[in-house]
Amino acid sequence: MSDDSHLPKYIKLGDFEPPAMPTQRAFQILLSKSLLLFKKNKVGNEGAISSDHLGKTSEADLNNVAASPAYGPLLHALNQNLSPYVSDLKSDSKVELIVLPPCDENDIIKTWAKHNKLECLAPPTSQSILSGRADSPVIGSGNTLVIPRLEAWMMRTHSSLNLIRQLLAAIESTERSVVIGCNVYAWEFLKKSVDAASFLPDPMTFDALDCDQLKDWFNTLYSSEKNNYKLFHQQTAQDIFADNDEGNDSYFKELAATSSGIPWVAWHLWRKSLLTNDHKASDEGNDTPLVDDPNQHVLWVTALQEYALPDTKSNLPLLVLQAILIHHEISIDHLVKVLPGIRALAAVSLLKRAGIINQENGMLSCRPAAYPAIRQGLTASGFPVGVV
Amino acid sequence: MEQSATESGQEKASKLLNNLQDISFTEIAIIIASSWLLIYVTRKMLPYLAERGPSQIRLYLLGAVPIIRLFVLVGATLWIIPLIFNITFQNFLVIAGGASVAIGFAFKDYVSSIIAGVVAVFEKPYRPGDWVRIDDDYGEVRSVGMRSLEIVTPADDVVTIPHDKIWSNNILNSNDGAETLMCVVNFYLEPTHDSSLICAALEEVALTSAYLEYSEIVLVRVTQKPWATHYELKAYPFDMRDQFAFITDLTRRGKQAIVEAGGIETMVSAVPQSL
Repeated sequence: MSDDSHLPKYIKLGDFEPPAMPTQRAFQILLSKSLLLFKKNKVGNEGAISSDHLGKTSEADLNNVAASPAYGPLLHALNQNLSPYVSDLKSDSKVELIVLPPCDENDIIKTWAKHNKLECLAPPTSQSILSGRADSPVIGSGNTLVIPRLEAWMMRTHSSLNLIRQLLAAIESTERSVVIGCNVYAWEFLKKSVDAASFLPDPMTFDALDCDQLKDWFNTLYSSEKNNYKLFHQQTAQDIFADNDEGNDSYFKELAATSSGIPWVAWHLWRKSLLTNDHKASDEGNDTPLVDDPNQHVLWVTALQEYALPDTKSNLPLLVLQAILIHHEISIDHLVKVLPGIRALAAVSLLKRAGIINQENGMLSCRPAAYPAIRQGLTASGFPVGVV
Repeated sequence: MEQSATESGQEKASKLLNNLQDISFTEIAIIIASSWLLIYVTRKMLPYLAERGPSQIRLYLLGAVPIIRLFVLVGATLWIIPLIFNITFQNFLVIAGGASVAIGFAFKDYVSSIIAGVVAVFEKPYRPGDWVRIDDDYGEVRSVGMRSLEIVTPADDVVTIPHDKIWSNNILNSNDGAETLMCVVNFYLEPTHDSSLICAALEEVALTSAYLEYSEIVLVRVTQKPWATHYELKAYPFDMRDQFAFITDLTRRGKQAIVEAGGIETMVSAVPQSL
């Protein structure tokens, strides 16, 4: 990862282009989806080992072969591209806006700020924003100020946008350098609701990770455990990181396309793909020929897990998902306030059961691995979505 | 010899119908059955796919139904006519004359509607999926048939309207093939209030609606009436099927925002329509 050519490019948000799905796989997906329209049975493939023999891999094993953080090379890329803000050298713009894909659990902009010992502007609580009692933001003076999540300064209600307007006005009038992070759903909302694009410079983002970058990243994560683990592609029974293997390339191309090259989505999907043979006792012959050392653990890289949104006639689950994405995370009490009607609670339960959203410490957030399905659902139903 | 050939030609030309033994009834039955099947499959399959596929292609799929049906019917008719009729210029005049009399006396309105239906396919005053108002009926165009169209009103009534309305009536199309349409919510306030505060509050209500289409404008229009100050909040939902949910959301939160901004809604028992 020290080679900078492997880092994602720092580009304008409008130039973002997700990796394309391999044509053959795209047709397979289209065909299976068309069939699913008419029948409920799933179309499945079997590979070198039956899927029935594969089970969940333990968290400890996953942490050994695919350790966190999920942002991968982005921190390094941030360090490289935002160095003028760290060293307080004046760059072309005193304000930098970085719009990132949603579901960033690791808070990468905040992590970058801490890493470089930069001051972060702490947002008020959601409750104080809703009640209109939040203190006006003070930018102050000093070296670069970081606002890790612009979306944390607003709630999508008619009386909760004044604070972010004050913040934008303060940013515009300050002489201080400011680095702002924002998720793409919140950015689309803020552009419309408070004309945020008039106050801030053109948003920047990172180019999508392509299949080679993903393969390199996951290979690097796994490299220290090569003696203890072997990772085989379920379809071909080949080492997943072996070069010039068409099956492996196809897997990583599909991973890049499905995840839109978003590091944290790809990282979660990668971990979900790693399964263990849990029928060793009855089916020992399956993996013994593949490894020389009997102490080595074999993990099978299976087809990407597909999430399905709850099949309901109303679009309430999608309204819930859009609201969560705009706020990054939100409590159930506040979710009801930003949605029409109180029936949202039923949709929340459905989404939790389907593994689409997560509730931790009372806050709801979208699971990164489910983001491809969420985005597809929102796009298909005409919801306003950003480029990422 | 030459004379008998001429006579035979004249006899043949004067025969309107082909000889029964020359008409392939099996072929005609196959053409009719195939056309019916094709139209039936189109009518069932395209709306099914439209409701389940991406919303961006919904209107294209729905709009294709009447066009495909028209082409299939025209094709089948052109195929069948020579199988039954002995088409010559003389016979054409006979058929046209007979048809004109029948249409003029018995099927005038019916044929007028069918011709209007063909015109409607090309002029597109309405397409399946559009929201239209014809006379006093407002609803979503469910299907466009040969003679009439069906609209489903917000009260879930199905209204069948003959196409010949397009000759004489205004057709109000709210979305005209687009995926969204403007929704207008009206508020009537007592005149003593800060109008700029109310305008800002109502605009904020629309901007924070979960149904809002970001690429379209949000507008608040204020007019002074003798009995109240009239506010019209205009905005677009991202899916026109959500228009009533959107209007409900704007109305509910708009009322709350008006109270918070110091406005008081007024009630008028009856207002002359001209106002």
